[in-house]
Amino acid sequence: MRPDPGLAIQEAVIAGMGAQARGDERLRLAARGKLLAWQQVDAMAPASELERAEFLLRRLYPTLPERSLQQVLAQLAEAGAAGSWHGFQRPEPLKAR
Amino acid sequence: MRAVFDALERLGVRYFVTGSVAASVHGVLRQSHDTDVVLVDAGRFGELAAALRESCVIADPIAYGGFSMASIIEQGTADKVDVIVAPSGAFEASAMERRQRAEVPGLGQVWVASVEDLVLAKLVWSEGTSELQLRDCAQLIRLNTATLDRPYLERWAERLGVSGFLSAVES
Repeated sequence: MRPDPGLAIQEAVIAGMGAQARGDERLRLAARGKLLAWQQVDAMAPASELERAEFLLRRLYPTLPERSLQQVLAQLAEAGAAGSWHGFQRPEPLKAR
Repeated sequence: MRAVFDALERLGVRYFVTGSVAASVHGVLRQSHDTDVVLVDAGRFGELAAALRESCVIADPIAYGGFSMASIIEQGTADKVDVIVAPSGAFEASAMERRQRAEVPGLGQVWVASVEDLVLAKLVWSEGTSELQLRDCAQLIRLNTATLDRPYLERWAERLGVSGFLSAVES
């Protein structure tokens, strides 16, 4: 494998965090990524909640197979038409650490 | 996505979390937006899907060679759990027996793959070419070297045909 300078330091810091802190950090990274995805989707000015959902799911889950994505969107459209889905909830801004 | 785990536990479906979430439990941190869960009882997936129909949208399992994978997305948050329905082979049975209970931030108490089974799964998924997976394996082995069940790891690496990949990540 290609040598990665600083990997040993990075590994030691992450390992030293403990499982709880690592899990918290994983959540924080995911939340930050999700906020960025929402900002990108907002910039695209989607015309509907369904279009927003499609943009968001494509950003968050780029490897989700197209067939699965279309199935999910069809179910969201159905739930929207039935009045049981009004769009994904916007995440809260991250708290400063 | 606690709803998925509540449903699995309520239905008595045996599962374990793998992938980046399990890696974070065992020492490796990776950014990921989804959670990977392994089931071996394909017949129970329908029950799980039915239990989650009110709160989630669910894409049917897609077959990928020896396993299939379905995606569950929460209608409120857009959070995703990928459910990997694995074949009920000897390795999967062993991994299910060796799973560990762990407290995972964001999920609560869940069953998680053991570090040895996580390494073995990553070696298989990597097909020897995914640098990220192989790097994770090397890191997981280094970080857990004091407690690693090496005979188990080597025995299953041989049986799964990934001994060469295991040697490569340890070199």
